[in-house]
Amino acid sequence: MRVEKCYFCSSPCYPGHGILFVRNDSKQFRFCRSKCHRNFNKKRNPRKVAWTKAYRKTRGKEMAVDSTFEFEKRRNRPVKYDRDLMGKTILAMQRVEEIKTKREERFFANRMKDAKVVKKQQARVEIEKSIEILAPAVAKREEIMRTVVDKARERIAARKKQRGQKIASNEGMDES
Amino acid sequence: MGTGKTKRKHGAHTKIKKYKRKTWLCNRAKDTDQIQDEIEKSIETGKPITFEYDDDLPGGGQFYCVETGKHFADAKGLADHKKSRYYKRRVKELKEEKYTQDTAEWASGMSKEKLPPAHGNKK
Repeated sequence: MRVEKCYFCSSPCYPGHGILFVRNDSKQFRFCRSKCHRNFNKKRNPRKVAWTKAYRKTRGKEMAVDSTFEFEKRRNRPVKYDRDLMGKTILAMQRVEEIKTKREERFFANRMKDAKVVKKQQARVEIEKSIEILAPAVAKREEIMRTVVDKARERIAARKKQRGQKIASNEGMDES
Repeated sequence: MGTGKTKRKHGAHTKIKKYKRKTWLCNRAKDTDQIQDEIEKSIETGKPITFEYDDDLPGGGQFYCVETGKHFADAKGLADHKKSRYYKRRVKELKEEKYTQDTAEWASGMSKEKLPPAHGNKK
């Protein structure tokens, strides 16, 4: 039994999952789930669908060239079972996976190095482009803020006045 | 007296599941990689893709568009089709690299085993 790769999204197809389509020229197409099958029936090119591995690798969103990819291979020549070899292979699988994830993380960090600066720049350009929409809103907000502040000041002044009057009246009571 | 409409409405069966099941596979249009293969083969052998006269096909199968895999009734229909947006888009698509299972496997981080030839270098 083999864990095949999905024709559309390149994810593993485990036995008992997904669907196998055989075209009338006897070519086989394996799909991991109905999502991939449906997209294939719509005759979409996986290279142009953003969520597939083929898209991500051809656009440089993911690491495409690396020595860790040399490990997993389609081997058409069967290997005789050997207990030691099996154990070694399992250990190697874990180790290679470890290295691969680390390299992928590094690749991602490298790719996203300038993302913050670029995003800020884009936002600034967008603001400058549509400043007419933004300006009235900002003006309105400032006006509201001004009225709020003014009202608060008035209230404080009124309270102070009241307190002053109270004190004055108290003093008047003492004198009499 | 009649039994109602004799001619069925165009496309009346397209949304009914039992008719859909019957027709979706036998009427399946050719995939892009199939057409790419055909074109490659015709270039290799130097033979253009032609059909023998067939009464069942529109226009006897004499007006065939290779890129879209469609038959037309006459030369005018074919010429009009070649001006259409559908045709032009398809021509553009065919120029792109072929997508195969190998591409999918490459994208998943899998490579192919290269073995030395089993029986030496026979020439």
